[in-house]
Amino acid sequence: METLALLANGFSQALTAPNLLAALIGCVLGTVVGVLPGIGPSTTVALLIPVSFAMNPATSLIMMMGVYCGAMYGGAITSILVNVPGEASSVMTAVDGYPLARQGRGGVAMVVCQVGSFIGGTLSIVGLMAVAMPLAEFALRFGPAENFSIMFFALILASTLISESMLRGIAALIIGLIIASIGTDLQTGIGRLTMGVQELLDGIDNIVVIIGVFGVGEVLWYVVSTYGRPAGAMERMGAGRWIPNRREWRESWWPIFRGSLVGFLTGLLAAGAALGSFLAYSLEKRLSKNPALFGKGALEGITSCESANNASTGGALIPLLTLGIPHSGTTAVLLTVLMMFGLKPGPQMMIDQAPLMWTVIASLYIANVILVVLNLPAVGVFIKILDIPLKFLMPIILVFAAVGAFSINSSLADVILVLIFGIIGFVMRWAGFTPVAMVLGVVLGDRLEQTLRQALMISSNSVLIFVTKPISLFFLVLTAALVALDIYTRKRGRAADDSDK
Amino acid sequence: MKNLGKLLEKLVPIFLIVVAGIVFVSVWRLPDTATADLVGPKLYPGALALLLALLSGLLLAGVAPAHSGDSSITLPGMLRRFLPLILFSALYVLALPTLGFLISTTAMLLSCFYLLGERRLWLNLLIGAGFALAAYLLFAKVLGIQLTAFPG
Repeated sequence: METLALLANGFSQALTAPNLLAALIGCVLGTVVGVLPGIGPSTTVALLIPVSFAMNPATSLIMMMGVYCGAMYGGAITSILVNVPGEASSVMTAVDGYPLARQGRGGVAMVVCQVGSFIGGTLSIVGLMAVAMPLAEFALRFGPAENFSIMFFALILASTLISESMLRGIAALIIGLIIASIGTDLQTGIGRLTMGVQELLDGIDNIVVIIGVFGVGEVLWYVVSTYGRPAGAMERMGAGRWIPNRREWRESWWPIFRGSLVGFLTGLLAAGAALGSFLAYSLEKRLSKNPALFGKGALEGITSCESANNASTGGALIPLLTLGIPHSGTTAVLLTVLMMFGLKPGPQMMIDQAPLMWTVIASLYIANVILVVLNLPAVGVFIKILDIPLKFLMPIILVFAAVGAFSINSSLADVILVLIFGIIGFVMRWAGFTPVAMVLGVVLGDRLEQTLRQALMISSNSVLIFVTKPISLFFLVLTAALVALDIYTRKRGRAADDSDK
Repeated sequence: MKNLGKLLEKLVPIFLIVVAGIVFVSVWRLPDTATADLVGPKLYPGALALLLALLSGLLLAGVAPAHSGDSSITLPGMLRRFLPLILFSALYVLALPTLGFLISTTAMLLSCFYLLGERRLWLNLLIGAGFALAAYLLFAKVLGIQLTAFPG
């Protein structure tokens, strides 16, 4: 009852004109940022810090939360429409979202994603309210060994499930992990695999790889695969209908709820939204009656990813608000903002600053409502992009990718890298490797290495730490079991195909 | 094109073995440093390189099922679409700092539209220049990305 009273008070504060306006501005900015590759929510929140000096803490935090939530909504739009994920957490949305757009179901995909995002975001805030402290204590049990094991599990599972050939899937993953290790080693300051190129000392931004593989790679694939078609043909993807039918809603509900749970729990951990979307996708593929559809336009795939990445926002706020531990770039900037206002995140803050905290929590609900109200009707506008003839749309995507890459560091080196990764993505796809597996390796590779090394430092270089910690052992055993099951299933499938022949 | 697909199936693993070798030698030449962890800066990428070489060897040996290839990727397509597009993109990157965003983007789009079969130059110019201007206003003026509109 006390919680409800605090929440009601929070709503009364959040529903004032200045706070509503701040929420609206944050949501719009966040959606734009999520759409555009290269500009992330952490950068946008950081850029808003000087603006926040002129506001009171509640208004400032409400605007920043709007940006944080909005970015998760926005990432799906370009993932589905033009195969250019705006965020790492939207990579898996592109895997099935873009094929759906190619089939003229882009509008349907966007609507179910927006609804999934709303439900995921809302459920995660309920979770934040209800179980913040116990979950925060549970999250503390995830040290470097556990984080390493869960990331290892997610990477192996995702890369084997999405690849036709397990061997090629893991090879692509390893290529991604190697790419992630390019740059300056954090512990020693030594440059690795830079080949003397100064610009590589900072490593390769994972957004560059994502834009290159998905955006540029797809453009290259399209232009080559359509060679020979009659000149002047006005091929277009086609907007089609955008209201899902009953069957499509039925396909989407359970993935939304499962994705929300996965995303909320993984939001507590270091790898956050991206890990959550990979795991949610893999889980849905495992549970699906039509796993062969995944990668070719499975609604369950994209709805689970999008609800997972939105649900991770609530999960990520738990360690931030209750323990003062940020697990992502955006939450690290939010921590800075909290400390700037003289607040000390931790268990006491939820008690000492209860009115402020509950105002922020209430504003998260409001932000989710604003986002779905803004974005759902806008689907009808966004999907007009699909009516643009592909011979015009594809070069535009190329330019969009180039500007997105340039916007990361205002460096032409990133634009060149985007082009290189586009070529790599094209060749990988042609040779039967799954470029997505490589992208997964790039996104999580750095954290995987850091958690491995931290775990070994803690254990005085004993690798037994990975098997003596129960949670870590659980995920390693689960990985081995699922890989064995996958090998058995594939062999049985091949034997069945051979006997049919 | 099937032969090219089969050739690629052999070439890619060989290429990956070479890359793995370069990565391995490159990290092994890193100076030894005192680190608290067993892994250090060398062991992790070195181990990944060895694993990549092993998997590539297995692929070369034909352990994995053959990839069926994609019949839509043809040699003429590679020569008349892929290579020109890469060339246009490279020229675009080179032209951006010299000619500015508006001119280089318009030229890039014009060339790509023509390459993809649209022969109405007036339409290409209209769409190309229009998009370049709209993109410049959005990215440079609204979002504050440092893009130079014109040369100089």
